[in-house]
Amino acid sequence: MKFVKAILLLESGKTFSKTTGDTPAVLVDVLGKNTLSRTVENLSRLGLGEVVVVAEKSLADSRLLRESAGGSALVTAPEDQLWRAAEQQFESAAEDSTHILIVRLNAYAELNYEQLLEHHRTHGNKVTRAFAGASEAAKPLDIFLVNSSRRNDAAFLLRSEMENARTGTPYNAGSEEYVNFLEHEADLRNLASDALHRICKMQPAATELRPGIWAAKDSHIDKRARLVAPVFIGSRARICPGAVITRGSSIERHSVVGNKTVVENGTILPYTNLGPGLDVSHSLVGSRHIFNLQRNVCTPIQDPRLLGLVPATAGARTLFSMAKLLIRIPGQIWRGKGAAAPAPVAESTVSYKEVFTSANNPQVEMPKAPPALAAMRRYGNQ
Amino acid sequence: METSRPVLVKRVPEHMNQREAQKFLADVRPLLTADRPQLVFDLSQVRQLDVAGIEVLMQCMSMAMRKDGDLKLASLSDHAAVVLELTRTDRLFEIYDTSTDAARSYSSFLPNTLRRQNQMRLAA
Repeated sequence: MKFVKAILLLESGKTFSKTTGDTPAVLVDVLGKNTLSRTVENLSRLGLGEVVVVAEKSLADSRLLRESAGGSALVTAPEDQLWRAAEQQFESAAEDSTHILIVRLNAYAELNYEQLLEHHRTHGNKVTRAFAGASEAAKPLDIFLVNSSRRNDAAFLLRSEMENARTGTPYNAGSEEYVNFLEHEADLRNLASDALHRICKMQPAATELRPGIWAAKDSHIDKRARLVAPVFIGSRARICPGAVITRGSSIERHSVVGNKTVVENGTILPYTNLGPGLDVSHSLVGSRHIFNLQRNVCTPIQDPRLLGLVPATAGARTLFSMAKLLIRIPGQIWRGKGAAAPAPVAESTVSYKEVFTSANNPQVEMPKAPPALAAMRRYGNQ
Repeated sequence: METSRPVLVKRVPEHMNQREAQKFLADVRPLLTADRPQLVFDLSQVRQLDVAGIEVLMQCMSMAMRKDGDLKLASLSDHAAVVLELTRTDRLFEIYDTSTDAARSYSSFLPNTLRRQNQMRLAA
């Protein structure tokens, strides 16, 4: 595959509903990495001569894209000049390669590219288009393998924005190959679920702590939280006490799952703060919106106690946590001064009936503490 | 991911009511107090499962978790499956079709043997 080069085209505009904001589908994290990053990695692993990412200027300027492009060359195309830029890249890449793989990145595909090349050669094609699914109901993918010498065919393909192409015998992806079209929120959820259930080859960007439980090394999982395999916990994500993460759920980086919140078959997108005591099932959550996949409804949540945002920059996060600490300290001091009895919690095993009856009994002299000893913690939970 | 610790499979009695549940808890308590216990409860014979039975299952899970172990369920009878789904406690457990699969799942992840209830393909 050394003499094959790849051109990945990235258009702005194709986004999901409000849960993912302005981020295109291929730049949304799924199990720790986005589709662009995974595609670049997969192609690089094949030993391709070069991988070039051509992106529209509005996208190319974003830090997320620059980080995701990783080991590939990033080319910025002026507004509305994406296809022209792609054509130029084809011409320069064609000089020292035999075949060029042109991919419009709008789906996640695990194709056997060696088999695609073999098919292309065997059938004597000049341009081969890949299809997903069984031959009768096959759905076309925006993945083309073009002979480097066929510049006119490539120009025809790119100038028509991949609508028309002089293709040969199409390549149908086999049953062992995997394609997800990323057209809907459900596709994003299914991709995460399929990867966790090993239906596709996608590997979560984390360590397998226990069979089926993937967590990044820098994630914070409370000991009292319950993780039921298979689940994924991303980098710097925080799972609070009593939370339950179950049935193929994925908690992406920097997200927080509050106390006793249950996430079942759900995806919590990066930088999402889920409040305490919630029940999130079959949903995609992010950017202060929740998309219920069973009802196919996207709902905005305004109350930050239910759903909030974690600041995206490290500085803002530090300031935010410092502010939270400063707010909490006076409250703690006030509670310490008042020395009121702790409020009973639902899980308490203390029999309050006994406490009330014992209050009527004569007081027992408690041994006095030495004067030098400071009472740092009056109650266990303060 | 391989583990050398034993996996204990315990059959849950046919009637998991208040009395039977407490008896069952007394039986399994020594197993749960061991270091990092790995348990599988076989619910194939369960014909009656009430709140007391569910509470005992939850208590066992909590005890196992406290000791850094785990509790998995296997071979659910129809009755047990319905009651667990009704009380939404099914999502707290890894549930397998057979006890053998559940025991094997302690050493490697077995996605095909995992019960995927409500894991419907969500069409657009």
